[in-house]
Amino acid sequence: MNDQQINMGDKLVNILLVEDDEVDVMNVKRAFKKNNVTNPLYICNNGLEALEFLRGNKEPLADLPKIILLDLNMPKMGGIEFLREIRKDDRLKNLSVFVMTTSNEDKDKVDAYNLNVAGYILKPLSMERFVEAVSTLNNYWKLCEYPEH
Amino acid sequence: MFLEGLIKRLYKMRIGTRTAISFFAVIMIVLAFTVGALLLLQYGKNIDIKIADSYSPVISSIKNYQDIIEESGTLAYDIPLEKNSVKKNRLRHILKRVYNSHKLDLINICQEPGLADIKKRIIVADRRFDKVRLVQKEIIAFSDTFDQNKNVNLKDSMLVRREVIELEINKIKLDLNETSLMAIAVFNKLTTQKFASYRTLSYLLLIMIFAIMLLSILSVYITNVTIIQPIKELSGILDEVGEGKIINFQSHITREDEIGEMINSAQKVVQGFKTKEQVANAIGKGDYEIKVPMLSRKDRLGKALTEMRDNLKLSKQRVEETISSLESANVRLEKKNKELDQFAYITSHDLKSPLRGINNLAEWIEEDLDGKMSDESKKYFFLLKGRVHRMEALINSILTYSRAGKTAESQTKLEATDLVTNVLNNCDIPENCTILIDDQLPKVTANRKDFYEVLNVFITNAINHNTNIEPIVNITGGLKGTFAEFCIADNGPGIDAEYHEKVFTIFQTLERRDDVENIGAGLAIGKKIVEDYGGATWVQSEKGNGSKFYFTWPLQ
Repeated sequence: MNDQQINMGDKLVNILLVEDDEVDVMNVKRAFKKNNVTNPLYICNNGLEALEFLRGNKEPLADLPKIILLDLNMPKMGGIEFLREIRKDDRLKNLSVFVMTTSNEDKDKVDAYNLNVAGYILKPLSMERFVEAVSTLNNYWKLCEYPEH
Repeated sequence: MFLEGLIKRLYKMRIGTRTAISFFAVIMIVLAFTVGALLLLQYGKNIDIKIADSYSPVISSIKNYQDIIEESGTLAYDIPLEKNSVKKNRLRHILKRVYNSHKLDLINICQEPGLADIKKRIIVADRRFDKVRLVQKEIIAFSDTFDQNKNVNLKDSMLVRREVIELEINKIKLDLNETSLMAIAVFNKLTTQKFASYRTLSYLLLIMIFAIMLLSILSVYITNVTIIQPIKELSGILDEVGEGKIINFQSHITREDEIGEMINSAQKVVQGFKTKEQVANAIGKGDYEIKVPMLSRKDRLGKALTEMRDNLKLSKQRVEETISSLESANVRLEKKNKELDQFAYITSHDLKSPLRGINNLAEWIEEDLDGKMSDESKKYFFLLKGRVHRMEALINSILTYSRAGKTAESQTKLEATDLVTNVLNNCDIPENCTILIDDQLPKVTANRKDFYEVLNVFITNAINHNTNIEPIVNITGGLKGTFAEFCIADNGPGIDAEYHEKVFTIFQTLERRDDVENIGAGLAIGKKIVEDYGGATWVQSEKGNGSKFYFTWPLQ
């Protein structure tokens, strides 16, 4: 478990990033920083870790993340499999999940949307465009209202 | 040698001819018999004549004998009246020699058994004449006495004796006449007997000849009816069989002789052919399990048919095996192709992730060193990012290429004109560029995305590589057999014939990448899709005279 909390405000929802590539993790962090996204960000390296984290198997979780940024291609448990697991879990099934992946395959898109993802974002090559994408997401998160618990 | 030749010649003859020849031979034989019979009859007559000849001496001898006796009577009658020594001497001579010799001749002749009666009669006549002879000797003695002594009256006694002689001689004469008649009767009887036997013989011959003639005519008729007619009928049937016409042959002739056997054989032949025909038809229709009926162990046609059936069955099996092995090879090949596509897809996909990392890291270094970097380092970073972008473009091309092909789903009838308009709307068309579109582009059946991609490839190729000051792109199409043929022509720089194949190969570009940022996958992708649908692509071009890119699309 590699959770780092960037606590910037009380009202902000927690975000869980499930990503195995260190550079991509750094990319997201950097993009958050650039966009002044202050939501607490938790990081898991694959689907299994994320499930354990969300179910509080290792340490009890005070505040369940409302938003998950999910990569698809990961070791141990991939993104689609992870989605299937949480959609079966009564406590986790209503989480907003954004897929952030390099896979442009229709099959992945269809599978993801069938599992009720909030969005499917292709990781762009350039930093600049990724920063833009994160900015849009941030606005979206801010706009949405979430149930308290 | 001669006989062999004759037999050979006979076998060459038709039965009709042979029959005619034998008929003529019979007639000739009959004629020969007739001639023979006639000759025989003639011969019989000659024999009769001979018989007549053999009996005439008897009669003439009897006559001579009678004559001598009569002469002696006449002499004895004359002697008493006249003095005639000549007559007296003649009588003496007759009595002494002539009579006896005649008598002995006659008896000798009458030695034959058929003349025994005549002989007896002669002997009887001789005994009677003995008495006459005594009286005649007395007359001669009286006459001699009278000549010596003329006074002796002997006339009366001589006359008396003369009367006696005359009477006796007449008796003998009568007797001999009867004997003559008897001899004639015997002769007649013999002749008639012999003649009658010859006549019977000749009648028998004639009847025989007639019978032979009748028989031979009958035999010719029977031969004709019983042999030639059935043979003609059979040869007609066999002729038809020989011409390959296998007919229903049921002869009305029911016989148990050789002809019957022959007809049975012919029926067997025809029936055998019919059965074989049915079997051959069945084999022809692909029934390789049918049992070939064998007429005998020597049935060569049956064996040939069996062999044919087995060979066909084997060939069919082989063809099926070949087809199935080809099919499985095809399936394997398709699977391999899919695997290759999948491999290219996965590989390129996996390559993208580290590539993005490289790009990110480069950008971060640039950001972090902002203002502290030399101009040279800045240029290197610019080139580094350029190469990373080119690599991404290459990877994306591989991804597109590996994914390109016939999409089985949502095949619809498409208006090519609509899609061309669609493509042009999504293109960056230079202002001076003229695009001409054929009014009547054919309709095609395709997945919309696939056909759009193909048109897009050819049209963007024609626009992007056109270096003409006034670029023109002309899009035409029409029907060629079972294909729709499209042509995208430009007035660009044209392509040398040696590159006509190369332009359709992935990552083959005709310009330096640094000059024109061009990946060189478009035409390859277009070709892959077209060929997956069963069409073809090619280019007609000359250096400096523009290019015409063609592709065909199956109508169904």
